[in-house]
Order: sequence, then structure tokens, then C-alpha cells
Amino acid sequence: VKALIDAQQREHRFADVLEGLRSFLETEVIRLHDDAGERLRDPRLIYSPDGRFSPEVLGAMRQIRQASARAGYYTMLAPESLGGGGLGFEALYRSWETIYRRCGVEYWLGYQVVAHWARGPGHLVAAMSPELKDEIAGELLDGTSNLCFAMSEPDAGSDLWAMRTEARRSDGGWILNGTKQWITNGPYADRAVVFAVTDRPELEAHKGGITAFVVSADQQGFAVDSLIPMFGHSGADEAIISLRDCFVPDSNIVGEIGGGLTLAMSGVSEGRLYNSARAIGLARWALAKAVDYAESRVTFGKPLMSNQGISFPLAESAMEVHAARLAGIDCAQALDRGAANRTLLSMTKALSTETAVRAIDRAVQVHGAMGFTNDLGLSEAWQQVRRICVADGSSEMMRRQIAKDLRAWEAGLQ
Amino acid sequence: VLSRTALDDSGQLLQQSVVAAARTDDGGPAPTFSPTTWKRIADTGVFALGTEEGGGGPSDIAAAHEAMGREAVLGPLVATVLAIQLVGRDQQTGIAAGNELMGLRIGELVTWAPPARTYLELDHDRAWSCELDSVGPTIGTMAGEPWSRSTGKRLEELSGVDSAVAFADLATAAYLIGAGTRLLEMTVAHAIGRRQFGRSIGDFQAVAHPLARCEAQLTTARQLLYLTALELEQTPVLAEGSCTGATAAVHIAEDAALNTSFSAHQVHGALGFTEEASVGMYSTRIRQISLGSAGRIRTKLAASSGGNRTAVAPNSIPSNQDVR
Repeated sequence: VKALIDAQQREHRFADVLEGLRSFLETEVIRLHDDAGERLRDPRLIYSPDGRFSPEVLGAMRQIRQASARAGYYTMLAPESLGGGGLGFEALYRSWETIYRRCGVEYWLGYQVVAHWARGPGHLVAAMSPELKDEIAGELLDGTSNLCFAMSEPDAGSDLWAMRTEARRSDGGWILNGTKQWITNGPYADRAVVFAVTDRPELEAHKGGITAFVVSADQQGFAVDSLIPMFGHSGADEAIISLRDCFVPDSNIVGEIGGGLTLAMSGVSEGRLYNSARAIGLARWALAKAVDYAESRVTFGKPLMSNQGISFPLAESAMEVHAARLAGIDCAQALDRGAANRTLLSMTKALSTETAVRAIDRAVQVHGAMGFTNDLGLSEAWQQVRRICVADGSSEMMRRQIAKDLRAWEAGLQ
Repeated sequence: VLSRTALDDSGQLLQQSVVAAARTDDGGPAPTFSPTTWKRIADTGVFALGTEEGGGGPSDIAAAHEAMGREAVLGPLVATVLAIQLVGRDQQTGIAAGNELMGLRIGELVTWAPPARTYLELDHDRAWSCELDSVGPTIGTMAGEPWSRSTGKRLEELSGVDSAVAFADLATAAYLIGAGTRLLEMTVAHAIGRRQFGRSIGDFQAVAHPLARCEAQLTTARQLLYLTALELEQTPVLAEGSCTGATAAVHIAEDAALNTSFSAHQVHGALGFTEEASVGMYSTRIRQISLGSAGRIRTKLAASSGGNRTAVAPNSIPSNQDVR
């Protein structure tokens, strides 16, 4: 009974937060987009000729972060030790789902409203040294600056043990050398959290040996080598970053020396829940669009929806989205109880992202030729969810994890 | 029977000349439409195939479009095949030469307008030439085809629609198979070359088996394509409202190519989503070209299943007017 009451209270608490979040999206984000018109819609205006976001876009992103920080949404998931709301995983799931469901791909500034674990004040910042926290936590919490998470490398994607970036001891600090790839927000971040090998034998024994460092983007030896435009974009949010004899003081170590992997994996776990919520939010946005269209569009004298060839695939999407969403909320609640495991998270991530690909693909099909136009946004959503079947652990890596733990998982079911 | 689906020397030569004309300097597909490449492809004579003037038949159309699929050619291919079969001889010349680009009107949308200046509208088994009042600003699409919104009117109703649609389906199926096969080859090469956890990722069954399935699907789809082309050669004039094997061929080809796209992205990981790698260009072009025929396919195949036949062959299916 207590659990039930807790659950109801939690539900009620989230209802208020989510209601507030929805109204913030309407008054701040959607209004800003509507006022800006083509300037936030036309890719030729969103990106500068060099492929980076235009200064106006970067300014609008910061403006939304700062407004959201003042309203309290930006930091509601950040650890309490940093001055954040510490709302936990279920709030994370429900708020990101709400944002993507309302904003779809048209009102993409909405993605700045809540601090992302890797780019804003999250548990990585909580693990920083007191002096580093003093230096950067304030501007991260108020949305002025942000970070990027630099772990992947050209030859070390899923296989972290193949990491090559190395940190060598030096007077009062470390010298970093290496190349990082697929770094989201890499072209724009004020600082990067860089993962580097500090103990090669430990790494080779698959025990650890990786440490996280904060490197300022204006530090000598730190460079954004190139931008990586992804899937149909003329500009980029992803970068290749190089570190050449880049000095980092001891105070810029995040967590323990050799403890980088644990830090990284807890972040990636958060990322998997985030991407699950994002996928389901976008799937619901697309499904709603498809239903609207199928009900209003008349062909052969009747609404499209009256054809089972149209309505049944949408019913299929509804079933799958419901199942994946319940899996996501269940996983988030388990994480909040401290009872979640990697299996649950892996199931949720693969199920949600693959469900979203199917749901959005069906929405494209229902819209006919319209579905492929950039005007409608379904094409962009399809590409977005297709990408997150790979990002933060591919579907294959999720299945690998699930398969490894199958017996324990089955035995643990009540 | 299957040996009949192997291309003869002239089919292979045709493909080689199309590939040579379509290939860009860096060997990858062009990100945007290139009038020069289009003209070069036209100069090989492929757009005139299936006409009195241009010679050749369904097998040649299939071979040419398979080659274009391999190079992921971006252009109004389906509209061109339809038009060349539907319009009069005087208009055929400009289309075949690559000087006149065709667009299709789909509701308020028009494909390839601009650069297309001549338009068709297709509504199930009827087609019209069209005139546009005005052409709106360009709308981007998933595959990079320039479309726009416009108003316009139908001019003249065109005859011979069933045959033209069969040819267009055949061309679509061939393009999908060509694109899917090239994508699969790229993916296999990546799976062999990319090492994670100390070995090629292709050594993992979770990577290898889906690719084996794609190979099986594409091979079967290709055999069906060329068998269908042979059948169409033997029965060139179709009865009004009849269903052809081309409908089945495009259906099977879509499934094979879409599955291949999915696996190709999964195996390439993040690299597959970059603009630099061409995986995304193949997958989006495959997805977009798979749209048009879906409704027609399902209706026609559903109608054909009432006829106690498992194979769908030219002239074998009773009129399905009542089903529609």
C-alpha cells in the first residue's frame, strides 16, 4: 500500500512539473520559433557556411537554457549536491518524453530546456574537484556555458578497451594526446570531458585504467579538427576533436584516477534512458500526426483512416509504443529505487528506439508523398530515431547485454 | 529457369555504359541532381528503351535501372519511364535525350518541379498530361529530390497506362535491387575491415546473419525481376486493368532493399549516418522510391489472390475494377 501511495504521490508531483514544463514550452520555445520563422527552419539560415550553427542559433539556444534555468526546469534533474532539483530517473523519462512529444522536430530549441547529462550540470560535474566545481558549476547551472562528452574514438566505439587517447604524468598535471570522434556538441562546447588511458596494463586487463579530465576548448593543443554532418544535414553538431600535448592540471580530473569508465558508463546509462524517452516522445508525435492526417484526408470518398491498410499499421504502432513506454517508465522507476540493472536498460533502449523507427516509418507511409517532404518533419524524425538505434550503445550491444544476463533476468521476474 | 535471369553480353554492356555515365569523379553517388550526369546517362540511350525508336525491351529497362540503382542515380527516373511509354513520339525525343525532365503531380505536390517542365498525373489506371499554373518554392525531401507545391490542371488523358505502369514498376524494382546490392557490398566490405573486440565485426553472427538474409532476399528479388521482364517481353500488350508480375517484383524488391538499408546502417554504426559515407544516400533514396507503388501493389496482389494462382503473370489476373 505504501508503494502504491508513493507511486500516486510521485505521479501527482510529476503531473505538476510536467504541466509547468508544457506551458514553458508553449510560452518560451514555441513562441520563439514562431517569431523567428524561417531563421530557425531553413537549414541555409540555421548553419553558417562553415557548417556550424549560426551565431543567432547559438544565441537562441543559450537564451532558452538561461530562461529555463531561471524557471527551474533546466536544472530539475541535476544532482541536489550541485543545487539542482535531483528529481531522478522517472522525472527524466517523463520530461524528455513530454518535450519530444510536444516539440517534435519542428520546435527543436525545446531540446535545450532540460540540461542533458553530458552537456549540462549532471553527475559528471558532481564528481569534479571542489575548485573545478567553483570555477564552472555556476555557469553550467545557469545555462551560460556547456560541455561535451569526449569518449568515442575512430577505432574505439562499442569496444572501449581499444581506447588510444593517452594521459601522461607531468608536473602538476597530465599531458593528453589522442583523437576523439562523434563528439556531440563538440564544435560549440566551452569545455570537454575527455576520457583518456592513464594505466595501459589495467586497460589491457579490462579492469579500468581510464580517467576523465576536463579540458577547456581554448586550451593549447585542443582542436576541433572537423565537423561531421549527419544524415541529410548541411551543418553539424558532431565533431572530431584532437588533443596534441594538451596540458591538464590535476584539479581538472573528474572523479578518481582510473575511475573514468564507471563514470562514463553511469552517464551512458542515463543517455540510454534519455534516448528511450526521446524515441517514444517522437513516436507519439508522429503517430498523432498520422492519425490527424488519416482522419482528415479523404480519398475515394472516405477518410484514409477507414481503410484497414492505413488504420491497422497505426494500431500496431500504438501497441508497440505503449509497450515500450511502459518498459521505459518501469526501468526509470527501478533506477530510482536503485534496483535497475543493465539488462532492463538495454531492453528499454533497443525496444524504444526500434519501436520509434517503425512508428515513424508508418507515419511517413500514411502521409504518402507528403511524408517525404522536409516541410512535415517526419523525414528528419525518421533519421533522428534511426541514428539513436546506434548512439549510446547500438541495438546489437543491447542484445549482447540482454543475452548475457538472460538466466538471471528470467529468474528475477515475479 | 533461373539461368534465364542471367544477363547476356548485351545486357552487361548496357549496364557498364550506364555505370560509366552515372559514376561521379569520386565514385560515390552525387548528393544533388546533376543535369550533366543526367544528360550523359541519356546519351547511352537508356531513356528511349522500350520505344519503337530506341529499341530494347523490359529486360533492357531492368538492366539499365539496376545499374542506375547501383550508382544511386538521383533523377526523375520513374516519371521518365512512365512518360516515354505514354507520350507521343514527338515528345519522346526530348525526354529520351535528357533535355526534357518529367515531374509527377501527386495532389498539390509536384515531383522535380523545377527543374522538370513537363508533368504527368497518375491516378491508379488512368494518366494525364498536365499543365501547372505556377510552381511554388522548392521543398526538400528525404532523398534530396526537389519538389514543390503547385496548382494546375489535367490536359489530355493518355492511353496505355497499364503497360507503362508495368514498365515503371519493373524499373523501380530494378533500381531498388541495384541500390540494395551495392549497399550490401559496401556493408560486407565494412564488416570485414572494421575491427572491434580484436576481430572483424563480420565474425559476429549478429552482424553476419542479417547480411546473409539480405543477400538471399536481393538474389531472389533479382531473379523474379528478370523472369518478370522476360514474361513482359512475351506478352507486351496488356489487357486493361490487368495485373502484372512487375507488381509482385517491385513488392519483393522493396522488402529486400529496405531490409538491406536497415542492416547496412546497423553494421556501419555512426559512420553510416555521416554525409561523408554514402550509406545514408542509398538508404534514403531506397526509402523514398519505395513509396509510390505501395497502395497499388497491395490492391493488385489482394485482387490476384482470388484467382487460385500463386504466381502473378501478365494477363493472368481478372479485372479488379470492383476491388478498387
